[in-house]
Amino acid sequence: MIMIALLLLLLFANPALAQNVGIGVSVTTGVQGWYSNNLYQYQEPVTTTAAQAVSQTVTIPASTSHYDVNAAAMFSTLNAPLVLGIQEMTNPSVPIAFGLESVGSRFTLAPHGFVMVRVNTGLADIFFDNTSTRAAQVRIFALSN
Amino acid sequence: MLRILVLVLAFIVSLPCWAQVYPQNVQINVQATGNLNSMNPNVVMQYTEPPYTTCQYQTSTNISIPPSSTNNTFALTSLFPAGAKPVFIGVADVTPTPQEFDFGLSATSPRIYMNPGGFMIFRLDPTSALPTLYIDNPSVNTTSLVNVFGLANP
Repeated sequence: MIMIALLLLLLFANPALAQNVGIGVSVTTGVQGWYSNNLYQYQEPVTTTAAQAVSQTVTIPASTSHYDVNAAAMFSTLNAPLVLGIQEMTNPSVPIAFGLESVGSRFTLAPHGFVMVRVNTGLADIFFDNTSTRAAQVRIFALSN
Repeated sequence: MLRILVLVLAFIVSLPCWAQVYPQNVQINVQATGNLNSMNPNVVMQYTEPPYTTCQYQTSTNISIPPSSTNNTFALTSLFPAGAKPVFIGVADVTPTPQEFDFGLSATSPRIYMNPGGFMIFRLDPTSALPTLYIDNPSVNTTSLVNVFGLANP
């Protein structure tokens, strides 16, 4: 009985074991019209597994430029990421911009907007700019092995 | 009779153009979940676009990235008419034999390494100034085919 309980615990509760993942993206336009168009569709193969599904919320101070968040340090046990993403979570929302260098080009996320990448390897530094007078909450998430 | 027939034909032919010109409701659904085999799946990302979001411009274009090349540039602003306000941008590998490709935001910036067949998607603020992507193809023999797509409003 104890052995069975331990086996079930290993199978279902140990987050370090590789587990199947679900990754899906669907972007469709004209959904109320006659000419709906499936702009992009992605479904991860059912055979893909990941040992860890993690997320962490980071506070970007108000009126801050190139605030460096090192994803590799944040998720130090993640060696082979499958998915990396950022989502703006402040309530009410704050426009938050990010880039891959301290200075340089930026993307600005929509209120509660996001970026998500199906990556091959590597965790990059992300540099945030918060031009608001309020601190911003940004959630960084990953699926990884 | 002929005049009615011409009008009906003109109406039918013009419908796809209307679909491009007038604001269209969009559906954007994104999810990423781990631990699917456990009793506690861990949803790290779940996004559903509000049903009232509309976009007037939609675009999708494929670009070829030669093998063993670096810093192939693609200006995301070229996707839309000047002054357009972006809503959604995506980049995906659509090479028949899926290939890794890497991108940065300048010639010397760190790279993000896309999985073969992978994607990168952004839900952007309309104030976002769309940057230029710098794309590398590490494959020695294969030309990568990269699909860049987007939604925007005037």
